Amino acid sequence: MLVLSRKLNQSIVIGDDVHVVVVAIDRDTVKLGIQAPREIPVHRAEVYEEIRRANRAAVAEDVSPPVASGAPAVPARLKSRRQAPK
Amino acid sequence: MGNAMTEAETKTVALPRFGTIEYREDDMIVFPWGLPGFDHLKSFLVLSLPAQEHLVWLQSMDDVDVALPAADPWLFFPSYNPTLPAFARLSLDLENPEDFTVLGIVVAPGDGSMFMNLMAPVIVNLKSRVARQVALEASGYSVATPIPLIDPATAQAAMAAQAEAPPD
Repeated sequence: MLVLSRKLNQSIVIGDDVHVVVVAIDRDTVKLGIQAPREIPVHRAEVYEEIRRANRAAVAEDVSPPVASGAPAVPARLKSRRQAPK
Repeated sequence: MGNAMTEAETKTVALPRFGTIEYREDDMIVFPWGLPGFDHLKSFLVLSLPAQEHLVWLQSMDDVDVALPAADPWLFFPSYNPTLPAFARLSLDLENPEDFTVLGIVVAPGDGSMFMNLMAPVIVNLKSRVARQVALEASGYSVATPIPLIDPATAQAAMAAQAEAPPD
């Protein structure tokens, strides 16, 4: 892992267009400003870890069919939502 | 693999959970960015079981042992109001509301309770069949929102009544 020292208001550049600047330092908390293209998601690592855990939990341990009897599974017809993305 | 297949051609796959399923290429959805926790799995078949009318299953075609239940979040949370970040709209090429659907992944720990991940819904572009699980980090939504459920006895009775009822 690359380790860099930065002072307040100093920054690093990742690739051509991701800028990370140290905005504030207060005891054990560092506040970072991140400037990235709109198509690049930026998240706290814990958020991703939380989603990973939830997805793994969703894959049920039991490998038995979800219903023992009944009609077989078929490809679902997905319908659109009217809710507009804002 | 040698013969050219048209999109409409029916294929079959044997699945440990669901048995042998017939599907078409355009029934698949693709997660080009992977699904967190299963980053190497890209191709999924969305399945529904007639006995589970509110659920769909995201069945991995890369690892047939992986299948995640999901549902329309508005079935259980009518006031759910996710705001999609710019990266989601850009990467999924979302323009019209008719072009996409939203699914909440469901966790059922096995004790009768069920939870939905409202913080990271799966957004599917229905035209391109490209999907992405999008984290709504500052939304206040939880990855494990309890799904309001009726108790099992009531559910059984309701299902029995439904089975007996003549079709509309």
